[in-house]
Amino acid sequence: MKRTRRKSRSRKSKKKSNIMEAKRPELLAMAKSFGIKGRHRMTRDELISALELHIKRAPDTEDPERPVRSAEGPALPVPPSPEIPKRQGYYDLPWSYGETELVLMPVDPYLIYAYWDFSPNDWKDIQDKRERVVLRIYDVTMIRFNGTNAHHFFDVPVTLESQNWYIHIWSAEKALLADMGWSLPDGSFHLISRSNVIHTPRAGVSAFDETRWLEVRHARRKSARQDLLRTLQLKRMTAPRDKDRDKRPSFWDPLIAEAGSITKDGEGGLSSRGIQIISKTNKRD
Amino acid sequence: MPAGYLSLILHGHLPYVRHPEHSYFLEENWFYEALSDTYLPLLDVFEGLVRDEIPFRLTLSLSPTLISMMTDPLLQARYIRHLNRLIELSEKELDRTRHQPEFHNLARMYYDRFSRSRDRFENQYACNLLPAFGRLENEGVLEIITTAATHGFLPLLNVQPFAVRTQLLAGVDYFEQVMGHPPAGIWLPECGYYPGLDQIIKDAGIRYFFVETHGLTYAQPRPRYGIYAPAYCPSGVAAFGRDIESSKQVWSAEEGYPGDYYYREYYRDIGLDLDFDYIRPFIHPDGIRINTGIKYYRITGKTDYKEAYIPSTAHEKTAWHAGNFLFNRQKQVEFLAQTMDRPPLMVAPYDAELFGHWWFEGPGWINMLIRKMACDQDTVRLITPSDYLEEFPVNQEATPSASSWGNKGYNDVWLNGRNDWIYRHLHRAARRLEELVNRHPDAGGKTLRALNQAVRELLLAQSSDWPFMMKTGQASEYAVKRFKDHTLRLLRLTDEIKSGSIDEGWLKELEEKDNIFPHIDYRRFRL
Repeated sequence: MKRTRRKSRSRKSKKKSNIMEAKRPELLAMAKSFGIKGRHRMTRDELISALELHIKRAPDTEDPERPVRSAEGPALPVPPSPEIPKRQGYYDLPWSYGETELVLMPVDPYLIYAYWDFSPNDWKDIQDKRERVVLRIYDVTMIRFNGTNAHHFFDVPVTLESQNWYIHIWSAEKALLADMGWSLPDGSFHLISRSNVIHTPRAGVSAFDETRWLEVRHARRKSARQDLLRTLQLKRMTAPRDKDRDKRPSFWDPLIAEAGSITKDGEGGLSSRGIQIISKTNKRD
Repeated sequence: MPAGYLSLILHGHLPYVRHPEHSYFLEENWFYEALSDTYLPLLDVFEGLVRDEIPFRLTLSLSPTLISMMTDPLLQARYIRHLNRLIELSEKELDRTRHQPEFHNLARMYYDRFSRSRDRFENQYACNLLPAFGRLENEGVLEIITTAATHGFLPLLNVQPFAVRTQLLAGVDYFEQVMGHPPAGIWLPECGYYPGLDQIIKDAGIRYFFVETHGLTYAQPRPRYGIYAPAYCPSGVAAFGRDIESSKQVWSAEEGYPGDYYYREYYRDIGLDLDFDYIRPFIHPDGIRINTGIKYYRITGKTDYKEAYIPSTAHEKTAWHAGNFLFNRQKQVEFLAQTMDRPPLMVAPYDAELFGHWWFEGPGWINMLIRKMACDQDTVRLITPSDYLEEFPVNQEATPSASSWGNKGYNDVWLNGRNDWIYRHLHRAARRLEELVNRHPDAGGKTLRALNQAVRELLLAQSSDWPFMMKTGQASEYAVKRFKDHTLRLLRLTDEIKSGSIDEGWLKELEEKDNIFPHIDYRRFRL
């Protein structure tokens, strides 16, 4: 649905058109603010195209001096700084919290997002070592990870200054975990920080069709604070009440018959049909 | 027993926008427009149905932020001011259009409509709509449920279980405070679900929630009835899946009912069209043209050519569309009955604001639909999720798949190049607050107030509305400002609590400015 939820004053940014009119010294200053390397050797036109690239690339971060690379499409130029409680040190959100961390978040079944931060000491080590720092992604689906027993892993070279990265994953429904560290020429890996574990969503119809039935009785309560554990009384049904129930045709039968088969990861079969059905429906945005 | 069931779910939510520091604030209009366009007309429809003794059951989710605004005296007073200006404008319009009968009749309609809204708001409801919804619940026609405290998108707050727990518990507690009983169900913000969330929902004392279609069709094991019956999560909480067919007919602006050429055109508003000097007193004080709510044209067609709106024709259309919707549900039930050994349940959730605000004739359509369902047929019956679970307590056990109702069905809308930068701050802020909450098991005095205010700021920063607005670019500057304001206030509060030097004057200012959830108690969120 092409309907936007809210209407508002739209103030188009003039940043881009300004570039076209700016003189070379102004462009140089802008290039400096974006940290564009080799800017002094560039002609005016080269500067414009380099800046355009950066303006397109930098998402809505609050700090124009620190470009953030992102896998998503063009972003708007930086919004003006908002009104913030006037007190020393609280004018804007900090660029770094000075603690080393690495956090993963799932975007969809095939894309994950990572952001990171470093303590001043770790950052100094990284600068001193001058070795390549990589993001190592482990597949830890259904295992208790001990550092060496992952199903497999792969390394993603990242630009540390960007502080975040999008990583494409080829297979859905995985438990993933990431390490950030030095991958040394002798094959060893020196860890700087380890992330949380995330679970990427399933991307298709489940192949499991075992049916278990559950009877839930709701105990009426007067207050949400009362004995929460006893609110729902669960009774697992070992055998279905109605023995014929599992033999009757299911909602899926015609769909499965039409699709030919059930596949797990959206490669043809019922899964891709399911995705088609769903992508046709009208969502928000 | 009917051959099938239909569960209509209306989800009402707006971000908490209240700026006592400004005498006029553009974004507050979202709330005033929602009252005029959606909530007053819906109350009118529901009360009319009760008066005519038409039986129906409908589920309405009212977000804690929306309820907070409905019950806020400042916003109530400002809404009356807003209505007064509209009445004044429509009076001027009556005069301006006196030689154009097709517009004059519409100006009359708006004049009557705004005057009646003011009368009902002030006299019938004493400026507070919430008790009116409560009465409808007592009448047994509405099932009112809640959502997370400030509509935080839970799959992306999940990095800190504390953040998810706080969103859910604060929402449920607030609901109980204002409604007098705990909610039976919850609307997960943006239908955002991940496996494991159901356990926290259960701990909050809630019985059911909703997922997007593929949340249930991709569940494991594969649900035998697809989305046409709920599934119990391993925790025993029921998950209801959104029906695609009934959603599309109403949601879609193009192929759905709201795009009919005889319905009112949303995007042609006199605030945008009329002579600047004439309209100036009724738009933004800075002279920015905005929607006033007075719209004279019908959709007419795909081009810019528009004809005058004819209310009676539009009214006939709503009846026809309600009949069409019902006919399609009957056919759907017949089809589904072949593969099911119980009556299928179709769950049709919509944003409440679709009805009235975006689709002007929407409340009339609901009115027609309910009346037709009650009087013209027995095939499909309206039901609420609670009633369904009473009638069918045995359901299949399955774990829904992580999903949302956003574009592409997962987390993309709230995590992409335009808004990903917020999460490092949001997670960090939640972690700092969690540490403080655990360090102060029983604070008093200023520290207690500061901790409670810090929870409010965290909740306000977590609204899914901010990343959504950053993504669409609509009001994104405002969203960035709000996100930064609340996060910075929280960070400063945590610093002050840690160092024991709480600036009381500033704290008091915050308590007045960000006054949501007045009875919140941080101790509730300790793990």
